[in-house]
Amino acid sequence: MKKILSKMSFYALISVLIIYTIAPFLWLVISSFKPQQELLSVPPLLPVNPTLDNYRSVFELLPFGQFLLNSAIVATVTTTLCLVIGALGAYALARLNFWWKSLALMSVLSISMFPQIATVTPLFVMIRKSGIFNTYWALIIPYATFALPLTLWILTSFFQKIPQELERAALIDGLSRFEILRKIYIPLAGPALATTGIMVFIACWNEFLFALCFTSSELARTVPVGITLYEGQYHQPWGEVSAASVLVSIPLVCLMFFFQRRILSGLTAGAVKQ
Amino acid sequence: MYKLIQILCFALCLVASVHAQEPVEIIFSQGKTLGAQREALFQLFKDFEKENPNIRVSVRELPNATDKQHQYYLTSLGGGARDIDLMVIDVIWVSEFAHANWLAPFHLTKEEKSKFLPATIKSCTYKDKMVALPWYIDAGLMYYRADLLKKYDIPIPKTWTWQQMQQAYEKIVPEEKKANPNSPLEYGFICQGRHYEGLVCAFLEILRGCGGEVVRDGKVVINDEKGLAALQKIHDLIHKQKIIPTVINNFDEEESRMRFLNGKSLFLRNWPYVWSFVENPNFNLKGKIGVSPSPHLVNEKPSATLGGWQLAVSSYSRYPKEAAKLARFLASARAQKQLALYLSRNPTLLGLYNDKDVLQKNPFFRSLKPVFLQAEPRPVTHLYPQISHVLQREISLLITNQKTPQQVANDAAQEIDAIFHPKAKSTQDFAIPVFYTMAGLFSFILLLMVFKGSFKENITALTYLAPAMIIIFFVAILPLLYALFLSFYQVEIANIMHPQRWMASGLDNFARIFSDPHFTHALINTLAITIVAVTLQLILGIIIAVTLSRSFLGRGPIRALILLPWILPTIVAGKMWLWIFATEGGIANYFLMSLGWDKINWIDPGPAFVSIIIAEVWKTTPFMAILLLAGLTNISKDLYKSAKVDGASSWYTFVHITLPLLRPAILLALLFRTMDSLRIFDVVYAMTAYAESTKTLSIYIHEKIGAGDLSYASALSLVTFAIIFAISLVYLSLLGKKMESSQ
Repeated sequence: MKKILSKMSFYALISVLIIYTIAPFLWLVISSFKPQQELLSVPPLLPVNPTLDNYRSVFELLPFGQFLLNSAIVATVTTTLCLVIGALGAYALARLNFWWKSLALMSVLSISMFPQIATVTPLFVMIRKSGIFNTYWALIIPYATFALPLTLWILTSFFQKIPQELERAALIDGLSRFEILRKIYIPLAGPALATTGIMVFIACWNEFLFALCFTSSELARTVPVGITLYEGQYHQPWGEVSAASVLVSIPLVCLMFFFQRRILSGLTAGAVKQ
Repeated sequence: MYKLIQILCFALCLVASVHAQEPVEIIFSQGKTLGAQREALFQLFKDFEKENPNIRVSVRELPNATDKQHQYYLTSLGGGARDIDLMVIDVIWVSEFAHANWLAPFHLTKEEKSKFLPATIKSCTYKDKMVALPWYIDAGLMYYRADLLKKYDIPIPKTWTWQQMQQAYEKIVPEEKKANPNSPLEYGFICQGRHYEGLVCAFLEILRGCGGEVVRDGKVVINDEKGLAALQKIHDLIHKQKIIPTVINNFDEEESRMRFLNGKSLFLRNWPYVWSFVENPNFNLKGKIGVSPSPHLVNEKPSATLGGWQLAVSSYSRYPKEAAKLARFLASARAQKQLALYLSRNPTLLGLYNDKDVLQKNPFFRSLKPVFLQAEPRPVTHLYPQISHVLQREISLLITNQKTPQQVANDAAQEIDAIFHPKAKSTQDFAIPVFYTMAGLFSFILLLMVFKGSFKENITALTYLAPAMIIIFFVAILPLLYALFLSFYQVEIANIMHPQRWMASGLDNFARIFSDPHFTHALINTLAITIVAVTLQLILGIIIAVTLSRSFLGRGPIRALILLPWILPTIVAGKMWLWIFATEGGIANYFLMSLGWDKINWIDPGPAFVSIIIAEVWKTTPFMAILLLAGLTNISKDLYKSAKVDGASSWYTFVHITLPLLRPAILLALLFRTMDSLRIFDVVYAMTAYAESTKTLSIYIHEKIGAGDLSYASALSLVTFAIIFAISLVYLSLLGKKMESSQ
């Protein structure tokens, strides 16, 4: 009896958690099927005349597919770049003996302390001068930089947990340090790489301010900027915004579903040192 | 002979150049248009290209939100971007952009000028030069419920006075409620009242209609006798006579329009575009709604705030002549007529208000002309963005009754005066000594990094860290140094690319921070939001992590779903919460009311804070939860087993096993969350923008950048950086200790 009760309260707790996280999103999903007139007044909660118009106009009014593609490319390349740079750096921080290790870790961390809004103007000037304005690189390079602190911190602490004996044995076998990183650390760090990867990916996927200022055409614009293009001078396009958000979230939820196992095992072994 | 060859060559070149002349591509930058409007607009470009085969028009479309466009232009033109030729700019940017030398002049004859509405010519003139062409115009109007007024036999005057409106309000609203308890009618007069530019437009009309003014002939007059009386009157209208409800602080143009058309209010202040809804047969409103100039006091005149969009040629344009040609074409009677017919844009040319076709399509244009003829601009100065921020803040405080009219008048006057007359500055130049010190320090550290300790190990480490260090240097360190230098100067946005024109100001910007009450206020807000939000995130994160670490049916999908808030683009999440917490028609209040509680005005200071915390916690708890969950799965199961054998309660195991072992994970998660939360921007900006009660440090910095006060914004950023750095050090020392002790 007591067991059943505790089980029931456990499931009740889970339900509350799920409602808390999903309810607002559910509201977006419901709204995305409402016609314009029903959008901004409750009751009724559910659409009276459900419609797919919002989804249609998301694609008809703007090249939304292109925005999705841009976002996917920018986020994927950034993630890869960030992981490569991060793995190289993390290996040095975890395994080499040099006195300025904590200085390096601290200065990397300090990137996450400066208000990003204040970097827009100088970055814009540099991006202009280097000729990468309105290309994917204009977003990839800043995104990779601002994602580095998290990447380096998680990967470093993960690498530290890999037994040093493995490395000593490999050194004796005549492997160079780079080969050790490539053949031992990277394969072993798979889960940690998956974890940081998805964290970087999502951060890129969500960013708005740089994307607004460093791109100027639909060929390079990402989803968050794309969504704001549905706005009129006065008009707030709730229908399109909610439909677009649902469309954006579906691939990411799937991605999450496949990666959550890896993320968790990655984090288990990584970030959190005992 | 030699001469002949020269001539020949010259001729050849000429021929070649004529032949090689490719069409010039000019970039026309404007807010996004959609659907049929877009087709009509693009047809105009096609017509232009047909008439000018050597010019091709390429359109760059920006988000329609005015502040986003402003940000885009400040960044682009401030950075000297040459790929904008012709742009469509808001009337209030004209002086600002012209002062920055971003606009190329137009030369119009007197006769050409006389064809435009006089107010639009005035607003496009800066220092006696035309710097833009008026394209379409807006001015504030008042809409009223003609049907209700008729029902209760209230005569409709030509222009409304506040007294007449008060009588109508006091008569109609109670009787309507008595006759029909379900009647939505509740308010007397509504207008735009959110903390944004629209508030200034609406407020100026009311203020001027009450005989007040903000700036007259370059002098601040909001605190003189008439200004103060007008502010007192506005305060009474809101808090004593209650004809203006405080819920207006939720409303932008669309919100107020919808509430009015849904029957919530007797009167509405809005722009002419609302009339197209009245005329739209789908809404069935014909004859029920009337329009008049804005309300005023008995012995004052109605006033209309001038709005609208102008065509301006960028002074960085490579093809200014061609761009000007396109501008003149788009501002011509022919093009403006098309725009009036198909986009319902209000022309700036007087003649079109008598045009038969235009009037047939837009009959209400007839009544607009007198309003447009009297429209008054907002203070015309390149400092307007800063003045607007002061006004937005002070009026918001008046609406929420946090300040008396006297305080508002004094504070606004004092701050606007300080904007016009900045205090004498120190001229000590710190940048160069600081630069040498820093360069020296950097090279010294770099040398140490190579030569101190094992040379070989240092070099290897440098090689591995090189890619990271290089991008960090360019993308993070350089902007930081740039901010540092900016903060030692007084830099106008126009001179951002010309350091030789920067004015040294010593440490004035930093001194200013410590005597700036708004900074202290923003700092307190930021700390409060961080402490509350991060604590809640931690508690919820632990609950989620502990729950999800147990195995149960469907754990995989549920773990993925719990992460959902994290993957929703922040800008959408912010808007979604804004929508949920809308005071009128929002789902949060709907639930409160169906539980039998009163509805809450979510923009008022206390509730606004709560709503932002809820949104922020919702958005970022998954990040916390996932880091903690990982920490949990890392704890050896054996510990729990032996605790169970010893008969420990589950609470006891949680407190004595889980929490201590989770400490490093908690600290790491807290570190990253705290650093992010102290820079919180997106969610706040989407929900309450610059509202005083929730203004954070990042919002304050953004406000200063938008107002062109770059040096001060840089100094603020550096101080913010220092604060976050100090707080992080505390975490790091805790984290480091833990790491050492556990190793």
